[in-house]
Formats: sequence, C-alpha cells, structure tokens
Amino acid sequence: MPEECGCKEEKLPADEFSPEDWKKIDEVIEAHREKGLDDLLPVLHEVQKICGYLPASVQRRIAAGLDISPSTVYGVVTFYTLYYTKPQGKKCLRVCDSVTCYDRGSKELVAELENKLGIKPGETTKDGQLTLETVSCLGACDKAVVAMLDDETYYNLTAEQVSELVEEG
Amino acid sequence: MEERILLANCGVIDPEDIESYRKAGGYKALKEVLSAKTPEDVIAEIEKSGLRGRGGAAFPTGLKWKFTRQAGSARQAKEDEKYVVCNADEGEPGTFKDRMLLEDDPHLVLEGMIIAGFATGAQNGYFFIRGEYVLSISRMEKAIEQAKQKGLLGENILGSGFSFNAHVRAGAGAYICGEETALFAAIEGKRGIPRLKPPFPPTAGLWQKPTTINNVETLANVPIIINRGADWYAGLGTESSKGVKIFGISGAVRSPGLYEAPFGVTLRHLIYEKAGGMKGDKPLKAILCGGAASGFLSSEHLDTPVDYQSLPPLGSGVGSGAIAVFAEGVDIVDIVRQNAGFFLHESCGACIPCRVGSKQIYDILSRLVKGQGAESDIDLLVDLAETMKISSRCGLGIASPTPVLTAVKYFKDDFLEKVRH
Ligand SMILES: Cc1cc2nc3c(=O)[nH]c(=O)nc-3n(C[C@H](O)[C@H](O)[C@H](O)COP(=O)(O)O)c2cc1C
Ligand code: SF4
Ligand code: FES
Repeated sequence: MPEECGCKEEKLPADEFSPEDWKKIDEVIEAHREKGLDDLLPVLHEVQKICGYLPASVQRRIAAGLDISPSTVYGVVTFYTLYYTKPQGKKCLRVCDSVTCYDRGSKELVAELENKLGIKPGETTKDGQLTLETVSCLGACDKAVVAMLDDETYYNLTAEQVSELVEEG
Repeated sequence: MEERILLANCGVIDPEDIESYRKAGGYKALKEVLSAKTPEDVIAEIEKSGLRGRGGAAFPTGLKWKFTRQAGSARQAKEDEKYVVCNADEGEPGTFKDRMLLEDDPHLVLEGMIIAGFATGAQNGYFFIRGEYVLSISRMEKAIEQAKQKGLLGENILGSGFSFNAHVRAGAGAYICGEETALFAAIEGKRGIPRLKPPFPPTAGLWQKPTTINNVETLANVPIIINRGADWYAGLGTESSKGVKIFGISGAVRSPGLYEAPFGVTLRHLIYEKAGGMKGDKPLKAILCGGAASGFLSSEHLDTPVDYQSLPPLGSGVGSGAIAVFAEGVDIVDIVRQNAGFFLHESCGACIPCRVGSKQIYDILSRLVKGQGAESDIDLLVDLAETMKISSRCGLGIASPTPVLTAVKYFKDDFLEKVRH
C-alpha cells in the first residue's frame, strides 16, 4: 500500500462528500480492486459521476484501493480532459470549436455566451450553475455548430439558440 | 440513387434490436465463417477484397490479420492471448462516420469484430469508444449484451468451438488516444502516450500481446465482404483503391452529411452532386481533405479522383474520408491557425519536435493572423513543419504539419496578404 506523502494537500471542506458518497466511492473501487491499474479509467469515470470531480482526497482513496501510487492516479487524471480536479458547474456546456464549427460560427457563438454569462471558456458561473468549455470536434460536423449540454448533443446552433438553451438551463 | 452498402442499415433498422439487424441479413456472415471457413480462408478472402484500413493509415487489413494470426504461432499459438481492438476514438476534426455506424448499426461493427477475432485467433475484443460519444457507448453495450444472449458471443459460439468476448471501454477526452499504441496505454489504465514502433501491434499490442487494431468502418466492411464475396467488393473502386468509402462532407455546402461512394469518385462529384453544391452558390475556396491532419486542396483540384494514389502527390490524402469545404471569403490563415491550435492542445508532449514545434507553429500563425508577422515567418513556418514531419515520434507530429504546408503551397497569396502592411 503506498505511504501517505508529507506534502500539503489542498484544504477541503470536511463535509464536501457525505458518508454515503464515500461508501459509493468505496463500492466502485471494491468492484475493480482485482484489476488494479487496468481498470483505472473506468473507476475514474464512475467515481466522477458520484463526486462531480476528482480532488486529491478522492484520488488517494482510489490509489490506495487499486494498490497503485497516488502519482499514477494524478498523472492519469490530469492527462485526460474529461476528468476534473476542480468543482464544476451543475451543468457543463461544451461548444465545438474545430475547423468546420469554427468556420460555421462557433467563434461568434462563444462570444455571445461569454457576454451573456460573464465567464470565459474553462470557467464556471458565479452561482455554480454552468461551466462553459470549448471542445474539439464532436463528430457531427454536418450539423455545425455543435454543442453538448451535459450528455445531450445540440445541432445547427446559432448564437440566439444557444442563448435560449442556457436560459432554460 | 446508388445502392447504399456500408450505410444500408443506418436509419432503416432498429439499432437497439438484434432481431432487426438479423432480419436485414445480420450475423449471416459470422455463421458462414464459423460453419464453413478456416481462419486462413477468412484472411485470404479479406486480402483478396483489397480492403485497407479506414482509420487513416490505409494498411491492408488482411495482411494485418495475417501478421496477428502468425504472431507467436512458432510457440504454442493456442495458449497465447491475443486481442482485437476496435478503434472508435473518432476525434479527427471533420470526421463523423464512425459515430453514425456505432449509433445506427452497432451489430455490423460487432459482427466484423467477432470475425476478426476468429481469423486472428483472439479470445477478447475491446471497443475503445470516445468518452463524448455517450450514445455510441450505450448502443454498443446493448449490442454486446444481446449478442451474448443469442449465443453469438461467449463460449463456443454457435457450437463451433470458437469462444470470444467483447468489451467496451470509454475514452476520457484525449485525441492522441486514437493513435493505436496510445489507445492501448489508455485501456491499460495509463496516460495515453504513444510507444515507439516497432514492435507493431500484431507482434506486441494491448498488454504486449499480439493485437489487431481496426477502425470502426474497416470492421463494418468485413461482414459485407464475406456475404457478397471478395471479387464483388474488389470490383468496386479503382485498381489501387478497392471498394467503397464513407465520406463526411461538411462546411459550406448545401447538404452536408455522410455519403458513400466507390473510390475514384471525384471531389467535384462528391461536393456538387452528393452534397448539393456550394451553399448560396458561393465559389469554392478550399477543401480540407482527409481530416484535420491531412492536406488542403483548392478549387483547381476538384476533378481529382479520391483514392490512395491520386491525392498523396498533391500533399493530401483519403485519410478518414472527411471533406471540409470552405467558401470564398474565408480567412484561410485563420482557419489554419485554429486547426493548429487543436494540435497544440492535443500534442502529448512526449517528444520535442511535436511539443515545441506545435507551439511555435501556432504562435507564428497567430502573429500572421493579427497582421504582426513578417514574410520570413512564412519560411520559418515551412521549415518548422518540415522538421516536425521527419523527426516526430508518432503520427500526430508527423501529420499535423500537413495542413500548414499545403495551405502555404496552395494559398500563398493569402499568407502574403497578411504580411503586407
Ligand atoms: C494522432 C492519431 C490519431 C488517430 N485517430 C484515429 C481514430 O480516431 N480512429 C482510427 O480508427 N484511427 C486513428 N488513427 C490511426 C490508428 O493509429 C490506426 O492506424 C488505426 O486504428 C488502424 O486501423 P485500420 O487499419 O483499420 O485503419 C490515429 C492515428 C494518429 C497518429
Ligand atoms: S509526435 Fe506529438 S503526440 Fe506523438 S509522441 Fe510526439 S509529442 Fe506525443
Ligand atoms: S467540427 Fe464541430 S462537430 Fe466536427
């Protein structure tokens, strides 16, 4: 089992995750314990569904449970863009800014959103409701501009429509 | 309308119902293979069809299977673990064909994988599907579940003695994991950093075991070839490029979408016939052909046949079959900059030419777009791009300078415009 390291960990509100959450996290880890490192990506996906993000405390719990080093977990979490180390908004709006969507107006669409929400891509609104991101090609280029609100994909978006989408929340 | 071959079931059958696929002739190829063919027969059939990988690199599929089959056969082949991996990490900007196949016809891809497993001697298959493709993931999971229930997956499939299991792995947001060795690393629970090749996957792939990795569209071709025969398939397309291909046409055209056509079809036919021509009848300025890491072409190239032989001399390629069309009036240097920004973000950073080169290329292009560049910047851009091409570790660093080089080649005036101030 990896030793706890002596470095200072970011301070988190003690009650951030409830005992029930921790129980669910442990259940996920338990189900993959035998596979260890091989199952790290699925474990991170499942745990993030419970926690919303993957802070150091959660990464350590996973590392200990799968018997791998915390640095391995940290390395993987920070490599992939779908894992978050900071709390995210209740919802996440991802706007494609790859070539076709960019040519079809994603730039203007993002500008409209920045204006309306008062945040830049990568940031979360003050009330914690929405995180805005620009992402690469979502595989629906024939229906540019494309965006995802959580797991739902929206097509042929105009600046106006995306405004409405955000308002409806 | 021409016959739809690869997309025949898309939008027609119920992708969540295996019976719907079976009624359309599904799993007939697998039955035929398991009851009447040896693995060597299957490999010979795929070789004869001329099928080449549709993931971008266009490696002959039959040959890849043969290498995997033969790997380790000097030792006790039977005991050796082998894998089939389906590369469903589609993330090449402009590409949207694999998503359609996975969402609308998952059993076709699954049937292709099981046949690949039989031919190569693998016991397990993995679908590595992009994390953002939520519906593709659930459809494939459902397809696997149903196939298991019908005895088409698992132990002793259809009483043939052949056993095979399939699994789904979701990606976590990293374009580089489309590169085959980075993809293996991701399945193994690691950061998606490409390994040096050789060894190639048929010798040492997933968990260092012999592995065949095929694109979604490649596997989708397999049941069709078995059903209709290699000779029929090889009769489509051209001498160098056999069969049919799905093209994803996007951008400034009237009817963007997926269209299939035999190789050798011209860009003009694809854009002006299939996709309905230019939106608002604007003149065509540029085509990014083959994907974001392939080459730009101009309106002069409209009569070029799309195949493995005709495009590379122009600095472009078939690639993933993506055809992004831009109309006159577009700021092509800005498009190239935005595209370079993608590769800057996605470079894994493991080797210096790509890590540093991507950043420098992006910075120079940004300077040019802002009107702060000098004419010498254009030469520097070309020099950097050439250097990356010859010295990067993996396909990302080797291919990503292509759009930059071809844009400078065919739209030099647009670049010069930016430095005349
Ligand atoms: C940076 C990079 C990204 C790639 N992305 C994909 C991809 O999304 N899908 C894919 O099938 N192949 C992709 N490839 C190609 C694969 O490495 C590999 O050649 C392919 O999966 C082999 O399958 P095929 O022979 O059936 O084409 C990518 C290659 C590189 C270098
Ligand atoms: S070429 Fe780029 S993506 Fe490939 S290994 Fe080097 S840094 Fe990583
Ligand atoms: S470029 Fe936006 S979905 Fe492909």
